[in-house]
Amino acid sequence: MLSLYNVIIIMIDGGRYDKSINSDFYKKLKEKSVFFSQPITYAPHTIAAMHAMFSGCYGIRTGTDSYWSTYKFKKNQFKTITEYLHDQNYYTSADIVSEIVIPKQGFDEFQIHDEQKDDLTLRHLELIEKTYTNNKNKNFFLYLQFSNIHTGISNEVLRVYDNFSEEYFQNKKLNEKRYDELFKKSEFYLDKIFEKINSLGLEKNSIILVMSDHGISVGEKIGERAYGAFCYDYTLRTFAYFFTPDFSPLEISQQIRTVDFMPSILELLHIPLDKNYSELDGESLLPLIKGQKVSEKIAYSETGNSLEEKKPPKTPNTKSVRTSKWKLIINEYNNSRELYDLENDPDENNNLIDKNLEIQETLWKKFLEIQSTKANN
Amino acid sequence: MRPNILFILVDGLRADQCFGVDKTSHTPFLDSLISSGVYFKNTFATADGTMISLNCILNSKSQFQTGIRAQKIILLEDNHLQKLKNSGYYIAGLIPKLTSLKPITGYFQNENHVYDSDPPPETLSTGMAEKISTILNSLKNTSPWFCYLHLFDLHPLREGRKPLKIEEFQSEKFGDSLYAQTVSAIDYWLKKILDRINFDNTLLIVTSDHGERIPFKEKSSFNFEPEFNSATSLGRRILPKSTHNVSGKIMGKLKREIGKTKLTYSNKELTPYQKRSRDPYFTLSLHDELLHIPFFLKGLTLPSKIISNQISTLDIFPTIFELIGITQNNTKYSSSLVPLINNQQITEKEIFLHTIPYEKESPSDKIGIRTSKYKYFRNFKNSKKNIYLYDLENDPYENNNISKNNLPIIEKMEKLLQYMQNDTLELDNTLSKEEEEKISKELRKLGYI
Repeated sequence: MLSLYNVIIIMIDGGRYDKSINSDFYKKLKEKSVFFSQPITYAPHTIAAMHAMFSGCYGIRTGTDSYWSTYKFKKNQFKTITEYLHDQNYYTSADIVSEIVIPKQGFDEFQIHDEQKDDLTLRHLELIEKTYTNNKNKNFFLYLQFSNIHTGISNEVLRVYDNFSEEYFQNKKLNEKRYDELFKKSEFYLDKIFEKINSLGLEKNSIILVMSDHGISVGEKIGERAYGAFCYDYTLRTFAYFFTPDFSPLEISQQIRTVDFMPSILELLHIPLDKNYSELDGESLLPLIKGQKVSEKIAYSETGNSLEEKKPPKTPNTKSVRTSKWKLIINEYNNSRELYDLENDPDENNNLIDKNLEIQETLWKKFLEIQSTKANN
Repeated sequence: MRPNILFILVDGLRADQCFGVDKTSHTPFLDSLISSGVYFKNTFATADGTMISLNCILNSKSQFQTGIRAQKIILLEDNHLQKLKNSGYYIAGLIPKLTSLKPITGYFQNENHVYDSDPPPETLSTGMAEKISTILNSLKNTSPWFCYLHLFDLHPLREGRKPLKIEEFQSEKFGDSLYAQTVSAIDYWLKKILDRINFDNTLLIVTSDHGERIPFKEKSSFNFEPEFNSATSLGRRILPKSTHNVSGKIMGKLKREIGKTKLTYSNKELTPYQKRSRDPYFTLSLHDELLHIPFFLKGLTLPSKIISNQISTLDIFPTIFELIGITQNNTKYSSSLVPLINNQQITEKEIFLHTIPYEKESPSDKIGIRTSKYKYFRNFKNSKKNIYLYDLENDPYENNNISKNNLPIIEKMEKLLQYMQNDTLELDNTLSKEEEEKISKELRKLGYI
């Protein structure tokens, strides 16, 4: 009898929130899980987003705040979920698209798939089977990155258009169709993965998290053909489905942050935080899942807009602070700011900056507070 | 064809000797720039010394983004000289021969682009005016050109030396201080040099990198130290050579102590502003006398205008770029000032300040923020140490530190300071070549490059 649950994280790279709520397959997932409908990612690109998720901390503090900063992750200051689980004698394994997308620390097995060639469904089914078989007397942590949406976008958008291509932005329907087809692949993939999980009985002794790291543009805003350039909701808002034997299905619509996942899993497993490391930005979501009233936390996000350049910048130049009602965006690359009423303007079209709204100053103060965490770190 | 650009930086030129009620210098040429061009009367440098200030000017990035303790010119990939070069400009110039300024010379395409800066440095009146004329003449058949001239004429003053060949200007007509008289001399030479410039196709910029102290009643701290000349020569004669070193040190200490006592006595009735004016030149300071500088623009079709909005030296190049038709975005720290010239308003930016640091951290290093209303600064590391806050509207000479009763203002300033520090260029924490190549390869594979 194992004392702890296994942990399986299935990351749907580039999964859009709006597509998930309209998908029959994802609706079924929702019926069986604790569904978070408003998780906000730290960064609208995988590298910084997943370093934040793994460490429970924003990249502004960990050092991984851009496409370029995997090696800047302050591993002596920030302990990842993998390291926590490894310390608990978990076997830890990952299958990912590139070695720079998540922190390596704590992994026993770290496999890289070829996104252009490998059949991820087959590959991950085999990996689940193998991990299960080899660890019958041991807990395991398995991290699976489903990268097919990224691959399609990379081949058909990133390598074909730039952030200002008229042809791309004038064909929104085609973009949507392209994305929908790619998203469908995630349904097929998840269907097979859950079939395998259930056949092995893993749903009874595992915490399973199905999450997305960021969304992807279908041409909403000129200047961003895919993701990583702006801080709008179509890339910041993600989805998360928690499957645990302990909790009944539930939908939580309150805004949460993807940095909250790591402390939530640790609390579920009764693993205390290591005081030798820096404090987390994330907070456990267990009180929320248990139905307690928890005040909403500000979600901080940042990314680097490459503008006319051919490669992303090395440091973030656009940042946002968000509540479920409002968002303040600070575009340092051109010194502009944007304020959106997310309840009445979810597509962020009507910029309310400098309209004498009190919320602007409140969010600006929060923004400066978060900025100071870097200086003080 | 883009216009030519002549950029003259007069090291240590104070704004109040170019324009305003405190001006005693005689500057018909600078006056003519005001009457036929644009003058920004509230321009502030970001530091009290050349390197850090020039790094901010040439990159339009904050002190934190340009390597504070580098003690040399740091030209980032997208620095302004590079942008001009990329836009087809022939880059010429003349700067002091200093190792720390050397990176700039890498852009100069003209020969003889440095001058002797060892004390006493070459000045306009000792022959540099001819050198500049030669450079400008050589540019006649080249277009567009950008010419950067860095003048050291005021530099000897900070060390208590008299600039060479200044005698002609040493009268009340040219100012009530040696500093003002030197400014008058610079003005005379600038008029001579620039007489033949065609301003229809040339944009002229005259500005500075930082201000300077003008000692109250022409007496700086070291003027209060006794010279002990006869005692020194007597000592040299009667004491054995082996004791000269020790006795020299004792004498030096004694001189300083006496000087300090005399200075304290003499300063008794002075305001803090007047007292500060007598500080030694190496005293780190974020007071306006070290930061308030002139910024003149003339040429093309610029109107005659005096602009009073607070602006910083980081705005100079974005303004030049817009005037010559090269588009670039405003940033967190810098904006083009062309809207102001065109009678439009722009939001005032807080100016981040940093004393010119030594290579190693010093307890005297300070950081701060200037708005048109307040100046805040404190110890660079400890936000609770050496805190100063001034109400600039009612106390422009910064005589009354009001930090004690204005905590909310300080808290607001403090948060902004921390936001600024996030942009620190981590010179020792950049990616190694191997790491950069590895990441580039991965990003290419993933479709991001």
